[in-house]
Amino acid sequence: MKKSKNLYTVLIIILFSGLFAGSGGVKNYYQVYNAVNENVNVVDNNIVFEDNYCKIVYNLFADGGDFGFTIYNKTTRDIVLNVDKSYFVINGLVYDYYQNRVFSTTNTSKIPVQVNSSGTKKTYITTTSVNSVDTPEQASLTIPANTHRNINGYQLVSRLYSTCDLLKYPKPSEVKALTFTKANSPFVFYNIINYTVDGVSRTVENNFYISQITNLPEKMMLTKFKTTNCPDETGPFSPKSIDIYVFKDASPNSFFYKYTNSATDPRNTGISNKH
Amino acid sequence: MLLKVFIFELHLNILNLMNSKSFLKVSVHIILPLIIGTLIYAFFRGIPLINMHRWSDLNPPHFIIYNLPDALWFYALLSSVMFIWEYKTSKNFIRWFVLIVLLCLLSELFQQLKLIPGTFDYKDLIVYVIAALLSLLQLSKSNNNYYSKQKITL
Repeated sequence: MKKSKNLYTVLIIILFSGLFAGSGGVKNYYQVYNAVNENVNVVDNNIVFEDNYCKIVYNLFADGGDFGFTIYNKTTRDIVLNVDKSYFVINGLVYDYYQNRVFSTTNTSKIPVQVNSSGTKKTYITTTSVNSVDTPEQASLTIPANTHRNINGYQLVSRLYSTCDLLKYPKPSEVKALTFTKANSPFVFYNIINYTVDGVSRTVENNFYISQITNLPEKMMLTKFKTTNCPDETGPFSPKSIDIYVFKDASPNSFFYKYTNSATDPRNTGISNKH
Repeated sequence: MLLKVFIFELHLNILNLMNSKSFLKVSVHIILPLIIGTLIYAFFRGIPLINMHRWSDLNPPHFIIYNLPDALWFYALLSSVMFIWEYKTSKNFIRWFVLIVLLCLLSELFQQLKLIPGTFDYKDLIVYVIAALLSLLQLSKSNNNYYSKQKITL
C-alpha cells in the first residue's frame, strides 16, 4: 500500500511538473519591419545613396529602427553639411536635425588631501573636483576631403504596430507577414539632407517606406551558436564554450521592435496605425 | 503484473473517492484550484491551439496573470499529495511534502541563477510559501476533525 502511495505521489509530481514547465515565463517577441527604397544600392551590408559629391550610408537594423546615417565626402574639397537645413520626415511630420542643444560633459575626480600627519598616523579626506564642458550644437558641420561623419538620427518606431490582421503573440506556425505598397504603407519616412560644396547648396532626399511587418516569436528571430574560449581564458571555473544569440536575418533595410507577453511591459501596450 | 495491480488499485481508489465525502475535499482543494488556475492562464496568457486570450478584453493586475495560477496549481499539487497520504502526518508524507516545497523554491532560485530557463519572480516564491502554509492549515484542520471524530466514537 505504501509502495503504491509513493507511486501515486511520483505520478502526481510528474503531472504537475509538466503543468509548471508548460506555463513557462515571460516570452519575448519581435515586430520586424522591412523598409524599401526605389533607388537604393546595398553595399557591404549597408544601404548606400550616392551622387557625384557624397555618399550617404544607412543601416536601419536596431531596436526601434535607427535612421542615423554616415555621410562620406567623395571630393577633394570640403563639404559643409547644413544641419539646420536637414530634416527627418515621417508620415508628413517633420523633425529638425538641428535643435540648438547644448551638450554637456562632466568629469568628476576625487583628490586625497592630507589633514593630519601627527605621529605615524596620516589622515586623508577627499575633495571632489567637477569639470564641466558645454558644447553648443553646430548648425553646420564641415566634412573635409575624403573623410566622413556619423550623424545621429531619429528612432523610427516607438510603439507596437497593432492591427487585427497581425497576431500579437503568434506561434511559429501562425506567423504571417503584412505587406504594403508605398500608397498604403503605415510608415513613409525620409531624410532631407542639405549640404554645400564649392559654394553651391544641394539637397538630397533619401526616401523609404515600410513594405512588410511581421510579428515573430524569439526562437524565429534569434539563433544560438557556441563560441569556444581562448586557451588562456579556460580556467577551472570558466566555461569551455559560451552560448551566443544572434539575429537570424539581420539586414540593413530591416529593423525590429522587441516586446514581451507580460501584461506590465509598457512596450506591448502601444497601438499605432500611424506614427 | 505489477501494472495490472496498480491499475486495479487506482480503479478501486477512484470508486472509493466517488462514493465518499472526500469527493468534496478533492473538488474544493484539488480540482477547483486547478481549473481556476488553468482558466486564468488560458484567458490572459493563452494556451497554444486554443488562443482563448484573444476573447478577453480585461486587463487584470500582473499578480493575477503571472503569480496566482502558479499558486493555485502548487496548492492543488500539495493537496493531491495530502489526499494520497490520507491526510496523515506520516514520515513518508512529511518527506514528500518537504521535497516538493524545496523543489519548487529551488526551481525559482535556479531561474535567477540562469541554471534553468524561465524568468525569476520573487512574488512566485512568496505565493509558493503561502500555498504551502494554506495546505498545512488544511492538513491540521483535517487532523483535528479526525481526532474529534475519534473522541466522539470513544
